[in-house]
Amino acid sequence: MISTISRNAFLLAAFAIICTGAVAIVNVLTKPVIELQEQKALLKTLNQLIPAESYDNDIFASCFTVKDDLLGKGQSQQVFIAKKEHLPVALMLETSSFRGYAGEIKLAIGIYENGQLAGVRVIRHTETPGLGDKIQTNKSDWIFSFNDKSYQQSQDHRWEVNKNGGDFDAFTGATITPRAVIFAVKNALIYFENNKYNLFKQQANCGEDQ
Amino acid sequence: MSDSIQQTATQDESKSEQAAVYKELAWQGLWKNNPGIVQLLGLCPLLAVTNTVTNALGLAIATLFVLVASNSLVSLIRAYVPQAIRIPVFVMIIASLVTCVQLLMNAFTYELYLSLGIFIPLIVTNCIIIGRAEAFASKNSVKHAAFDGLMMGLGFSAVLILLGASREILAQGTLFDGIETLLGDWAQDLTIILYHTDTTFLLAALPPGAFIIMGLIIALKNLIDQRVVKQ
Repeated sequence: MISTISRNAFLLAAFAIICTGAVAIVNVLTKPVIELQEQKALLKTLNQLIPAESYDNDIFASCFTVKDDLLGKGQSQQVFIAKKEHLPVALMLETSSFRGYAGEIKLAIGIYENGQLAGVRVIRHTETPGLGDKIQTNKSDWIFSFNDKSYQQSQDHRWEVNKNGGDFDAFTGATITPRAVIFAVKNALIYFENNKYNLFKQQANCGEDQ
Repeated sequence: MSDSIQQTATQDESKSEQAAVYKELAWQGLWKNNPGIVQLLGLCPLLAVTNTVTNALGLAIATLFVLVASNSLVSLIRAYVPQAIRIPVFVMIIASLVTCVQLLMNAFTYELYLSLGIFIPLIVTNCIIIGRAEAFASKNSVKHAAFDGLMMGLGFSAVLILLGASREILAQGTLFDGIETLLGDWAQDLTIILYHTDTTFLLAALPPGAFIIMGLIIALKNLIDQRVVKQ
């Protein structure tokens, strides 16, 4: 009886070690590739927002993290600074909105140093396919309507969907998603305006907390 | 002389027997006992990700791979695993296989991984996999188990792709939309646009449409089966 139990226990332990070992090996082998893929995907978004020829610094090395309620509650977000000849040109920051229809909408927002929007892209979202997913560039041109916009407090009412008197179109059947994106972009611009001088002076610190 | 003739005869017999086994396995997996539309196993991923052919194909390949590998491994170790602890061992094998597939997809098909998201780890809970491990692979030779996994996986894939294609056509009038996330940039031209719509047919794009079309596919299969019986 005892011998059966210990034999089974030994066998189970052996299988656990082999299985975990296999996963660990695959993890080690794929980790650099996954990181490279993530960087590539990020750089693709970055260069859509801030043209590669407008800056000359190593934009990945400039990455640092910030935390502010305007960029999504309790989330730390990455910021990338684009510089040309040591002068700040633009930055790209990530922001999250939970005001959409389902879950988080993660955005990448490019802002020139004068506060004008370079553009906005959706990094990921879980909005309803066919309705809310028009925020993706491959489904609709809607997200391009942010290009070159900037925020002034006196013009706050314009940061709304057009049926509420704002500048931006709503989708047929989906108002919640575009409003969530509009508010997230507006908040990001307010955050930028408040912290502009510190942001361009920040030391890079991405990867240090890992 | 006569001995050797007899030997070839028995060899031929066992060969044709073998062929019959494989034929039966293929018939079971692809049609008679199809995991998607007869056993109705793995409905969650089946209905959730089949909004486009690309997503369906991605999940189909991942499931197929896990199924063949888990069946082979389970069959390989069946002699060493006592009856009492077989289930935890199967679960460990399947869970580690799925984790490996997830990591590999994350590394090599990054965009597809993003769009399939949560459904890759959910392959673990797909009852087809543990079901085949327990019901077939743990009692049969490696060759048969791998073939059974292949056929069951292909049967499941066929249903996934059929469902994905009908939903994609109904919802957005395209086929193979976003296929480049699976096959690389060269595949961009494979996308077929059947008709243009400004608004998508939402019912087909959302899970209720998946249920309805699935029901129709099952009905069609039953209809064909009845016709065959009548003849």
